[in-house]
Amino acid sequence: MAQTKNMNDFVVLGNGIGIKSSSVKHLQSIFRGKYSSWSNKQGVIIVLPSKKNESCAAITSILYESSITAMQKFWLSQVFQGRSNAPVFLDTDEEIILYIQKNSGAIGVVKKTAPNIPETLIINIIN
Amino acid sequence: MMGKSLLQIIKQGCRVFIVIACLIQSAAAQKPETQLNGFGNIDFTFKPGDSSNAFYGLGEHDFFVTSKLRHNISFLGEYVIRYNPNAATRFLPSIERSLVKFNYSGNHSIIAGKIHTPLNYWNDVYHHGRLFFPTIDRPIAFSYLIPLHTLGLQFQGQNLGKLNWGYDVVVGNGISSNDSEKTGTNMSLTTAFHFKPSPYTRIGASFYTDFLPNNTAGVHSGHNTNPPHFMGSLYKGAVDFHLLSLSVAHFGKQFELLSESSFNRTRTDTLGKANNVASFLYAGYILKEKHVPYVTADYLYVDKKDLYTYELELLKFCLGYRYEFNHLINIKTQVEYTQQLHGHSEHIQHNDIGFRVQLAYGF
Repeated sequence: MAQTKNMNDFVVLGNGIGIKSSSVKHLQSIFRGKYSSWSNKQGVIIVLPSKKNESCAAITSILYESSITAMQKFWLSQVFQGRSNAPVFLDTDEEIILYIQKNSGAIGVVKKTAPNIPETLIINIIN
Repeated sequence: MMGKSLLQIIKQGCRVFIVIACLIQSAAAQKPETQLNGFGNIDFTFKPGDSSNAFYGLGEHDFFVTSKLRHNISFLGEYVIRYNPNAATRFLPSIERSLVKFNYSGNHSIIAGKIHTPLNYWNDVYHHGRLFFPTIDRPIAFSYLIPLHTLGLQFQGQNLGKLNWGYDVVVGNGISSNDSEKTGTNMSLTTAFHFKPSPYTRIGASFYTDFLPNNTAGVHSGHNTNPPHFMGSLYKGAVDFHLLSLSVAHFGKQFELLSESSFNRTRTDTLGKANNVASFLYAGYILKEKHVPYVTADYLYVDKKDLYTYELELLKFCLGYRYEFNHLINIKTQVEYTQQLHGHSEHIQHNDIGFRVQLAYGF
């Protein structure tokens, strides 16, 4: 319940990923690298806020149920194992939105209050 | 009949290489996204006793490259510079992993190149990054029984279904080979599976089989290519090598547990079957995310009829503490007790106590 409440402060954006809605649990598995490619064959590109982004701690807590350090260690290990491509870390919501708009297969999370959120890219959160 | 089937194999091989070449050619037209990381460690060791030693050591320095060549093709390379007493500068470089991965469907991939053989959790996850090791050293079996590398073709699946099943099938140059050639047509075969019932737990098993025509250890065996504990003349006949491994790993928010077990059977015409076992257990408790006190127990038994590794029995206990500064640097301290359990003409029974510190970092 707490996760859903927190997720209400954010918007999930996806470009060409073949899904329009998702549960928080499903999003968690996506952001933890469960999928290499989407059902439409596009490669999965995970876009995350960097430590400089004020939402980083909150988004990490929702998607990884961990601290920022633990999430960074998780991804360093995943990439080192050769299991996943490295996620893209960006400093601001504007950069995240722009990156997702430009890259098909990208998925990321920004604050609901971020400017210029393209409505066509919004993934609805379902319980 | 034999010649025809060989021709078919060659034709099939040519087709595979043409397909790979086409894929790489189309990838070359795009600008690759390349990342370079590095890992290293500095150690301090103190061994009290009659011939006491205290020294600092520069550990392996690991340069790690990943590059996205196409939306579904990537390259991974791991290049290590490590201490080698035979080198003029006492350090030599080596290629530890160098592979191209083609994600052909969903979570299924084909990998071509030099890999760490996916035999157990440790070899599949930690590679040469001491930063990721929960302890200072690998399990003892890595120096004796475990064929660390394979050069060849790997079929991999991961995160399949609700239990996140994974599989690996590897056909490649085996223990006797080096990175550019081998004698004979036999290949090593690795089959492995695992599942992850939670994001923090992975359970898996594997089977590895190889045939060594003249009992030569190339660059894909354990880190001791010749048995360091055996001073006699080495057996030069053929060896059948089979290894069964089981891993249970849980790295949660509070507890860490890793169990690596191996059963190895070698067979020679001279002495017949030899049954060897190895077992490693690590347990850690996490305090405030940064402090991890831990214990390990490590055991290796090599049968006296074994002519590949040669008779040996080792037992090691560690009491350790790890402090994680952040995801890029940690420090580990260990008090170790090692016991060689039986003495004979080739090695003497002895016990060792040691104190070690390791600063491991990524950059």
